Amino acid sequence: MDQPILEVSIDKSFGPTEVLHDLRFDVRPNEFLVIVGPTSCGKTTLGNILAGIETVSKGYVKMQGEPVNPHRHNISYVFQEPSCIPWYTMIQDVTMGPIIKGMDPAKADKRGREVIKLVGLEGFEDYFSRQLSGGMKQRVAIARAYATNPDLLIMDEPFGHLDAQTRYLMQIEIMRIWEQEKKTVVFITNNIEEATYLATRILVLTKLPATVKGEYVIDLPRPRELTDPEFLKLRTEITNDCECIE
Amino acid sequence: MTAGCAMENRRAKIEVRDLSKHFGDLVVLNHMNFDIYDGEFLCVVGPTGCGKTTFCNVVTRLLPPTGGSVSVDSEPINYKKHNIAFIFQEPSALPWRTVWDNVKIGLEIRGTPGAEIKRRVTEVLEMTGLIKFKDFFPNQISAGMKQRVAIARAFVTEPDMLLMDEPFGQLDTSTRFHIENSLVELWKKKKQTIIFVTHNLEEAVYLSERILVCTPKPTTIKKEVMVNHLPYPRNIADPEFVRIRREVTDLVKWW
Amino acid sequence: MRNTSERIKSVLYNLLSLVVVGCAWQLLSDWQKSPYFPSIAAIWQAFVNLSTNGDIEGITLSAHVWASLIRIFAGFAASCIMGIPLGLAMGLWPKLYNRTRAVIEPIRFIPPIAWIPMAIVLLVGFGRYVFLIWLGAFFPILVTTLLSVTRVNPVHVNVAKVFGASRMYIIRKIVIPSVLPDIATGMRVGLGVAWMCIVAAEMIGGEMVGVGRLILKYAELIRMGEIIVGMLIIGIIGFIMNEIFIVIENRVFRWRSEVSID
Repeated sequence: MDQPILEVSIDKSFGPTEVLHDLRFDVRPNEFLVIVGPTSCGKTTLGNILAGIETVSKGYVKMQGEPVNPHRHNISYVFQEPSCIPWYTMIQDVTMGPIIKGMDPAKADKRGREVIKLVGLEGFEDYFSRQLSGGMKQRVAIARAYATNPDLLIMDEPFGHLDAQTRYLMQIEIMRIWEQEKKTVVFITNNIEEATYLATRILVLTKLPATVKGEYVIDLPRPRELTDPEFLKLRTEITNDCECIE
Repeated sequence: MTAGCAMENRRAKIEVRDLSKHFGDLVVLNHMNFDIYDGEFLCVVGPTGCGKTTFCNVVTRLLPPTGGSVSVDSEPINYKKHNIAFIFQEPSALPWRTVWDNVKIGLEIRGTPGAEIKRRVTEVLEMTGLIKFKDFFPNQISAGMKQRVAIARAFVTEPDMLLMDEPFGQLDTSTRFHIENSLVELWKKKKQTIIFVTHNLEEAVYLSERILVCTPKPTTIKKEVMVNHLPYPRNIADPEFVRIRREVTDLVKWW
Repeated sequence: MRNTSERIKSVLYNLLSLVVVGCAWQLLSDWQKSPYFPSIAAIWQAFVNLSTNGDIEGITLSAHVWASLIRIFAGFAASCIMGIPLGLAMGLWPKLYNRTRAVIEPIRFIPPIAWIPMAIVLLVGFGRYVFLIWLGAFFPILVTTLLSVTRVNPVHVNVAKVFGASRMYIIRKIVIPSVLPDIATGMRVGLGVAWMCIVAAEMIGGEMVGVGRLILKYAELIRMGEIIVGMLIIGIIGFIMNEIFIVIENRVFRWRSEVSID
């Protein structure tokens, strides 16, 4: 097996509250790893830690042998909330990452247009985010994440704020994009149907303090069918395994 | 047309006849005709922008129709007489009232006597699993619980019609399953007439006895799908469930 | 975006309101028949007189207005130059604000007029005007700027952070564009407050020229016509400045409104 992209072994507390406990897993190259767990089980904290914008209390997150560091490593993040920069046009927003990383502006522009086309928003390069729908805004965020050719792409419930039908469309879209430009993806969600649809591998987390409870390898052929009996069987199995909270 | 018991042995509680709604030149609702039966759980689904919200607003008389009529128990709909409860997508619990005070507000407005309020509120809080939280404020409880408060508040007034516009849209999946089950339990006990509007087709098949599929604007009813032959609680992996879900998905055909 | 017919209606209704107020004033004036309640014609006469021949010292209306405007802009500029950077610093380094609150907050609540005795004793001439005006504008600008930093959307900051952007980059490219609209609003409010201090400032300033001074001259003579002209001029100029500011804000911050194409 290839060297893992990311090696994770962490504990994290905020003051007296332990959020992540002895959380250990690897992220393998070019896999679509989905992490599921109930709400407020610390999934977003985990996402922030993996991206290097949140510290760990104990343990490490290693990328290619060194502690993860956004200044050195090439990681992209798609946030749950709409994250388009309001005063930038789409092309400016999307090229922000490459330019921070030192890419030549002309090259960055070319790459920006490439990824805008990849996510299906060709023609909207000069639009401001206020002119876009929720689904389109998330596509911009995905384009921005792809623009830097990241070694690791983290997505924290990116379709959470979208309505059910847009969500289904985006799931199909993200699969199409991923097939076209394969990246290593860590995708966080509480929606098990979504997880089963997208993942090559699923990790199930417990409630607070979160630790890895179960692992599922999904080798259903793509494109997957939401009402396929095999699919439903897997989905039900994982749902039963996942602790639900109220 | 799918198999399923027809609604013949139930009387029509609400009759919608030739209902239309225009906004200037824009025709949103176009000659809609259907009945809603007493005590049924009806879901209304359709693609985005098919005027579902306008439909809710017109049926509950928040907006006047351009043409046609809505009647309850064979009388034209009338706020003073008919009790219509509405549950929004956003959490609508009043932040300055405890759970108990929130739930009793409808009865308070109608001047129900105190002892009666106490009895009914206690009953509904027990049924929605909120009794332990009756003295909590909305900012101390989760989003799922806030929506339960809204549901309890609506049910306690024993409305002629309960209209729910995508009430679980902002909740995460696990909370959603729990609250959907609670809603079905509550409905089975109280036998309220419910109109449930949603984008989520699986939810529609999971909850309802009957689904009305709407067309895009100008909106009419495209088809009626019967689901009342499936027992509660429903199993999403059941072949018949899957078949109905596929049928509804094909009908809506938003992509 | 209001459509044209809505705008036309708005303008017409506004004109109508002005006419109604004017008629009401005229009726009151005719009913009272007192020199302290001049008719519209008398007010107009006073206006024409002041514009052409000037006041009792021969200083024309435009000279007064010009003098006041210069003082205002000087004071306002001073308050922006001091208030905005300080506000940004305090917003970005909250300890700076938290540890100096005991000094700043009480001063903030002292009205500009209360500073007049001190201004008379410690300053002369142009300085007195600028000081009082600066006092009026400084605090709204400082506080708005400070608060605007706390309202920067953390998601936008995180977007840059994830790409490994430096702190300077984040301040320059994320924080500053985010806070500019709020700062502009603070400036506009500050300018309004500053303008309203002009009368107080000119009461104690030494010179004979200025719209505030104009009102005071005629107050001593109890010439209501000229006083009203002075008041109206102050009101109208304040209104115009505010409107111009709003127009500029709307153009510069076109990205702000929440209108979706879907």
